[in-house]
Amino acid sequence: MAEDTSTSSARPAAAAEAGSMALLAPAVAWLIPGAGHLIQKRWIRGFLLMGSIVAMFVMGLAMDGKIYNPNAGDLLDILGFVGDLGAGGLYIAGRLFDWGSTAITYAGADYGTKFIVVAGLLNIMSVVDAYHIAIGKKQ
Amino acid sequence: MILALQVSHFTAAVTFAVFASIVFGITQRNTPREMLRFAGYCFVMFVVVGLFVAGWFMWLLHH
Repeated sequence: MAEDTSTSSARPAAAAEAGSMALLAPAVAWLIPGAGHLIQKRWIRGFLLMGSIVAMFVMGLAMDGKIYNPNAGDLLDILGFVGDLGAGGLYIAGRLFDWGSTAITYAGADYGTKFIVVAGLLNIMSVVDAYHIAIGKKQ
Repeated sequence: MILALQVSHFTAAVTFAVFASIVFGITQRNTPREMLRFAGYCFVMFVVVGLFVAGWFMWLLHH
Protein backbone atom coordinates (compact mmCIF):
# COMPACT_ATOMS: atom_id res chain seq x y z
CA MET A 1 0.00 0.00 0.00
CA ALA A 2 2.84 2.34 0.92
CA GLU A 3 4.48 1.52 -2.41
CA ASP A 4 1.30 2.47 -4.25
CA THR A 5 1.25 5.87 -2.53
CA SER A 6 4.88 6.63 -3.35
CA THR A 7 4.43 5.50 -6.96
CA SER A 8 1.33 7.60 -7.45
CA SER A 9 3.03 10.66 -5.94
CA ALA A 10 6.16 10.09 -8.01
CA ARG A 11 4.21 9.99 -11.26
CA PRO A 12 3.05 13.64 -11.30
CA ALA A 13 6.55 14.74 -10.26
CA ALA A 14 8.08 12.81 -13.17
CA ALA A 15 5.47 14.23 -15.54
CA ALA A 16 6.19 17.76 -14.32
CA GLU A 17 9.91 17.20 -14.79
CA ALA A 18 9.32 15.90 -18.31
CA GLY A 19 7.10 18.90 -19.03
CA SER A 20 9.67 21.40 -17.86
CA MET A 21 12.39 19.57 -19.79
CA ALA A 22 10.25 19.81 -22.93
CA LEU A 23 10.47 23.60 -22.60
CA LEU A 24 14.01 23.85 -21.26
CA ALA A 25 15.81 21.47 -23.63
CA PRO A 26 14.86 23.21 -26.92
CA ALA A 27 15.56 26.66 -25.44
CA VAL A 28 18.99 25.62 -24.17
CA ALA A 29 19.70 23.74 -27.41
CA TRP A 30 18.95 26.88 -29.43
CA LEU A 31 21.11 29.12 -27.23
CA ILE A 32 24.06 26.70 -27.02
CA PRO A 33 24.26 24.13 -29.83
CA GLY A 34 24.30 20.59 -28.43
CA ALA A 35 23.47 21.69 -24.87
CA GLY A 36 19.89 20.43 -25.18
CA HIS A 37 21.30 16.92 -25.49
CA LEU A 38 23.92 17.47 -22.79
CA ILE A 39 21.35 18.49 -20.14
CA GLN A 40 19.51 15.25 -20.93
CA LYS A 41 22.74 13.29 -20.40
CA ARG A 42 23.21 12.41 -24.08
CA TRP A 43 26.88 13.26 -23.78
CA ILE A 44 28.35 11.88 -27.00
CA ARG A 45 25.51 13.15 -29.18
CA GLY A 46 25.62 16.54 -27.46
CA PHE A 47 29.34 17.02 -27.92
CA LEU A 48 29.22 15.81 -31.54
CA LEU A 49 26.39 18.24 -32.34
CA MET A 50 28.14 21.07 -30.51
CA GLY A 51 31.43 20.37 -32.28
CA SER A 52 29.86 20.12 -35.72
CA ILE A 53 27.65 23.21 -35.47
CA VAL A 54 30.17 25.44 -33.73
CA ALA A 55 32.93 24.32 -36.12
CA MET A 56 30.76 25.14 -39.14
CA PHE A 57 29.89 28.56 -37.73
CA VAL A 58 33.50 29.39 -36.83
CA MET A 59 34.80 28.15 -40.20
CA GLY A 60 32.17 30.29 -41.88
CA LEU A 61 33.44 33.32 -40.00
CA ALA A 62 37.05 32.40 -40.76
CA MET A 63 36.16 32.25 -44.46
CA ASP A 64 34.96 35.86 -44.23
CA GLY A 65 31.31 34.84 -44.27
CA LYS A 66 28.54 37.37 -43.75
CA ILE A 67 26.09 37.34 -40.84
CA TYR A 68 22.71 38.56 -42.06
CA ASN A 69 20.87 41.35 -40.26
CA PRO A 70 17.08 41.32 -39.88
CA ASN A 71 15.78 42.60 -43.19
CA ALA A 72 12.70 42.83 -45.37
CA GLY A 73 14.45 43.13 -48.71
CA ASP A 74 15.57 40.40 -51.05
CA LEU A 75 14.00 36.97 -50.42
CA LEU A 76 17.39 35.26 -50.25
CA ASP A 77 18.56 37.80 -47.66
CA ILE A 78 15.45 37.12 -45.56
CA LEU A 79 16.06 33.36 -45.79
CA GLY A 80 19.72 33.94 -44.93
CA PHE A 81 18.69 35.79 -41.79
CA VAL A 82 16.25 33.01 -40.81
CA GLY A 83 18.99 30.43 -41.28
CA ASP A 84 21.52 32.47 -39.30
CA LEU A 85 19.01 33.00 -36.50
CA GLY A 86 18.84 29.23 -36.01
CA ALA A 87 22.36 29.32 -34.58
CA GLY A 88 20.93 31.00 -31.47
CA GLY A 89 23.66 32.09 -29.08
CA LEU A 90 26.27 32.02 -31.83
CA TYR A 91 24.17 34.41 -33.91
CA ILE A 92 23.56 36.71 -30.93
CA ALA A 93 27.30 36.75 -30.15
CA GLY A 94 28.05 37.41 -33.81
CA ARG A 95 25.75 40.42 -33.86
CA LEU A 96 26.95 41.70 -30.48
CA PHE A 97 30.64 41.50 -31.34
CA ASP A 98 30.14 42.47 -34.98
CA TRP A 99 31.66 39.26 -36.37
CA GLY A 100 31.63 38.42 -40.05
CA SER A 101 32.13 40.56 -43.10
CA THR A 102 29.63 43.14 -44.28
CA ALA A 103 29.76 42.17 -47.95
CA ILE A 104 30.55 39.00 -49.88
CA THR A 105 33.46 40.00 -52.07
CA TYR A 106 34.91 36.69 -53.31
CA ALA A 107 33.93 33.02 -53.71
CA GLY A 108 35.48 31.92 -50.39
CA ALA A 109 33.38 34.47 -48.52
CA ASP A 110 30.29 33.07 -50.22
CA TYR A 111 31.19 29.56 -48.98
CA GLY A 112 31.64 31.04 -45.51
CA THR A 113 28.24 32.72 -45.63
CA LYS A 114 26.64 29.40 -46.57
CA PHE A 115 28.51 27.65 -43.75
CA ILE A 116 27.04 30.13 -41.24
CA VAL A 117 23.50 29.72 -42.61
CA VAL A 118 23.78 25.93 -42.62
CA ALA A 119 25.17 25.92 -39.05
CA GLY A 120 21.94 27.68 -38.04
CA LEU A 121 19.77 25.24 -39.96
CA LEU A 122 21.59 22.24 -38.45
CA ASN A 123 21.07 23.76 -35.01
CA ILE A 124 17.32 23.89 -35.67
CA MET A 125 17.45 20.14 -36.39
CA SER A 126 19.34 19.70 -33.12
CA VAL A 127 16.71 21.74 -31.24
CA VAL A 128 13.89 19.56 -32.61
CA ASP A 129 15.82 16.41 -31.71
CA ALA A 130 16.39 17.65 -28.14
CA TYR A 131 12.64 18.29 -27.87
CA HIS A 132 11.83 14.79 -29.12
CA ILE A 133 14.14 13.29 -26.49
CA ALA A 134 12.53 15.46 -23.78
CA ILE A 135 8.99 14.30 -24.61
CA GLY A 136 10.10 10.67 -24.84
CA LYS A 137 9.51 10.29 -28.58
CA LYS A 138 13.17 9.37 -28.98
CA GLN A 139 15.67 7.74 -26.64
CA MET B 1 38.65 38.78 -40.04
CA ILE B 2 42.43 38.91 -39.70
CA LEU B 3 43.19 35.35 -40.76
CA ALA B 4 40.82 34.54 -43.60
CA LEU B 5 40.55 30.82 -44.21
CA GLN B 6 41.09 30.12 -47.89
CA VAL B 7 39.70 26.78 -49.00
CA SER B 8 38.98 25.28 -52.38
CA HIS B 9 35.41 24.49 -53.42
CA PHE B 10 36.17 20.77 -53.00
CA THR B 11 37.54 21.18 -49.46
CA ALA B 12 34.60 23.36 -48.47
CA ALA B 13 32.13 20.83 -49.88
CA VAL B 14 33.78 17.85 -48.12
CA THR B 15 33.95 19.77 -44.82
CA PHE B 16 30.29 20.67 -45.22
CA ALA B 17 29.48 17.00 -45.93
CA VAL B 18 31.28 15.82 -42.78
CA PHE B 19 29.49 18.19 -40.39
CA ALA B 20 26.07 17.95 -42.03
CA SER B 21 26.28 14.13 -42.07
CA ILE B 22 27.09 13.99 -38.35
CA VAL B 23 24.06 16.13 -37.50
CA PHE B 24 21.78 14.27 -39.93
CA GLY B 25 22.88 10.92 -38.49
CA ILE B 26 22.28 11.94 -34.88
CA THR B 27 18.96 13.69 -35.43
CA GLN B 28 17.32 11.42 -37.98
CA ARG B 29 17.90 7.97 -36.47
CA ASN B 30 17.26 6.35 -33.08
CA THR B 31 20.05 3.92 -32.22
CA PRO B 32 23.80 4.59 -32.33
CA ARG B 33 24.30 1.90 -34.98
CA GLU B 34 21.60 3.39 -37.22
CA MET B 35 23.00 6.89 -36.62
CA LEU B 36 26.45 5.79 -37.75
CA ARG B 37 25.11 4.04 -40.84
CA PHE B 38 22.91 6.97 -41.81
CA ALA B 39 25.72 9.50 -41.26
CA GLY B 40 27.97 7.42 -43.52
CA TYR B 41 25.23 7.14 -46.12
CA CYS B 42 24.66 10.92 -46.07
CA PHE B 43 28.39 11.59 -46.38
CA VAL B 44 28.72 9.27 -49.38
CA MET B 45 25.65 10.83 -51.01
CA PHE B 46 26.94 14.36 -50.43
CA VAL B 47 30.34 13.54 -51.89
CA VAL B 48 29.38 11.12 -54.68
CA VAL B 49 26.09 12.66 -55.83
CA GLY B 50 26.53 16.22 -54.64
CA LEU B 51 30.10 16.67 -55.78
CA PHE B 52 31.02 14.21 -58.49
CA VAL B 53 27.70 13.55 -60.26
CA ALA B 54 26.55 17.18 -60.07
CA GLY B 55 30.06 18.35 -60.98
CA TRP B 56 30.24 16.21 -64.13
CA PHE B 57 26.65 17.12 -65.01
CA MET B 58 27.55 20.82 -64.88
CA TRP B 59 30.69 20.12 -66.94
CA LEU B 60 28.50 18.44 -69.59
CA LEU B 61 26.10 21.38 -69.58
CA HIS B 62 29.01 23.74 -70.05
CA HIS B 63 30.54 21.84 -73.01
